[in-house]
Amino acid sequence: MRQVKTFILLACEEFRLSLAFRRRYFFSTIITFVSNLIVMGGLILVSIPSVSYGSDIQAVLQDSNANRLLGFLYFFLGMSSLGLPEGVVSDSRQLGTIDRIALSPLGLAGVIGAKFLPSYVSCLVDILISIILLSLIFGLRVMWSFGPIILNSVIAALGMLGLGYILGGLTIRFKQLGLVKNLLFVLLFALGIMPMGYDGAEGLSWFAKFFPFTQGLLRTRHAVLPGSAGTTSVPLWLFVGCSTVLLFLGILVFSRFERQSIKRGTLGSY
Amino acid sequence: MSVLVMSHVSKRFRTRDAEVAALDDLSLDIGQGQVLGLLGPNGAGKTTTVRIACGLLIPDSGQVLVLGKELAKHRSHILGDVGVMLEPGKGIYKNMTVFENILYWGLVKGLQDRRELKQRANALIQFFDLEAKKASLASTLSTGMTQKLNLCCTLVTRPKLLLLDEPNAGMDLESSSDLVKRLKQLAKDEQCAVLVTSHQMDFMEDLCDEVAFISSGRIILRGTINEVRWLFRQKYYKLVFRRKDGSSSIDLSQCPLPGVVSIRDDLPDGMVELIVDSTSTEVQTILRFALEESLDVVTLELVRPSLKECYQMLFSRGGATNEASQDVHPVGL
Repeated sequence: MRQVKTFILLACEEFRLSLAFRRRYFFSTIITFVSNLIVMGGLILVSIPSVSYGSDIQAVLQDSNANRLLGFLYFFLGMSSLGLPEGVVSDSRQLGTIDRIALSPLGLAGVIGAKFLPSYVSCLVDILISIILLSLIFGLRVMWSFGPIILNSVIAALGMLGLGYILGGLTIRFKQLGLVKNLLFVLLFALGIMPMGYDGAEGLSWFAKFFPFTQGLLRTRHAVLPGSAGTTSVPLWLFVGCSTVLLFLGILVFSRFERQSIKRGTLGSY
Repeated sequence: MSVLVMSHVSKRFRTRDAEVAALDDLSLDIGQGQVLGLLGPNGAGKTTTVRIACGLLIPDSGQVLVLGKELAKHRSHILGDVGVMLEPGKGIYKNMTVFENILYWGLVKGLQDRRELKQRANALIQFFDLEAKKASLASTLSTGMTQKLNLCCTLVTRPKLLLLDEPNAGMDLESSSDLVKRLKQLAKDEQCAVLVTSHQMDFMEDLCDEVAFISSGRIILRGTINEVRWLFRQKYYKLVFRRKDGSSSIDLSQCPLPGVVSIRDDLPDGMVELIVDSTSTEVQTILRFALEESLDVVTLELVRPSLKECYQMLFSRGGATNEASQDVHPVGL
């Protein structure tokens, strides 16, 4: 119980600090936001042909770009959750704070978990603002139903955090292995952004059905994109189950590597 | 009551080519309010000892008790009572302010009363003279101030055991002596046990109640500063006197006292200092000389080396495990 309270208090402090950092480094926050907006807008622009092929092609483009907006949301959330544990391990090794974090009653995994809340919220707010702006700029129709967006994205992000813990654990043991995240980012990008239209993530059928990133994307698409009701979706229990298993497996793997590195004396720069 | 007890702790590190014994059957204990300094050359096992004492490293064998509880079994409960400062200049977030850093690390260590945490943070800021920098980013602090902030972050939980690895690294003389004063006061006021390592002997001599010399993972000598200095005393007497007639010049060749090795007559107030070999001259002979010459004796004492000189004597003879360790009491005095 005491540890749960510590976790909550620390998560709140991390959130407060993330807001303080946004104010403190306002210019850099704005630049990052605008850069992301330009990249997302550019991806939509390149898919719009210079010559109109009639109303059918316009409808297809509407659907594929509306899909892409949700892809952006999931790509950025997935990326920040997946990279969080590896980022904390690498950064704190460089800063020399890893020993102090490891001496917390929460352990390294617990402190990383507390950092998830601000990371998720700030990323969600940024990307939601961006995609609402893009939907207005490009005239894309999306039913902004925030309940399913938030619920599905939280579950998916937690699942991706689990995968991130596995990656973070590998980074503790094999210092360079954290770079594998770059390969996974490409996979997430391909899953979220590259496939056009309805056949996108579903094209991977079996993988899409059990991978939290694609599960969340499919479920959200069903909830907020008009006309997608007929396509395959993922039941909530399977989605929650897959994310929970991945999260717990990730924490288990991470804690095992953490303990092993403490035994070997290789946790910090020691 | 012993706050930290390490019994027969051994730790070996395996590399691709070899296996190195970092600690070899090391035992030590520290009581409440006691400041123990760990001295030894690089690679002797000081940092490994500190890391094992706080649970950042698991020993291959032996037992570590903190506040009477076994660290391996009660790690998460004990950690709140242990303050650790490792790696000089590191361990804080440079993009946070001084106050934010202290609050954050307090929360990480499991403090739950935010109001108390803020009060404690303010008290520490005041104690370490960081008030002017309270709202400044940690990246703007000088080396000495960064170390002070590091200490604030370590002390915010009121630890009962404080483990400091080179806390004065990078500090100038004034900041270093200021740190000694504050650490001594903390150990006394809060009754916390302190284990400290440093290569700066003057700092250790001023700070520590006891020192332990470590070499090749073993504690080869432990005692109070005076005990260690007594053990390494030179075989010379120092006699400081004033001539009753006021003259201060004295010629070594003319001096009737046997075994005089040096004379200093440039001391203030017309004082003269004689260094006499104690193996050839007994103390009675010196006193008789003083009486016969009608000298006003200021001090007569055995010359005791500084801690730095003790350290040099112990570790400059081809390794403490050889000749020197045979000269001194193995562990404890």
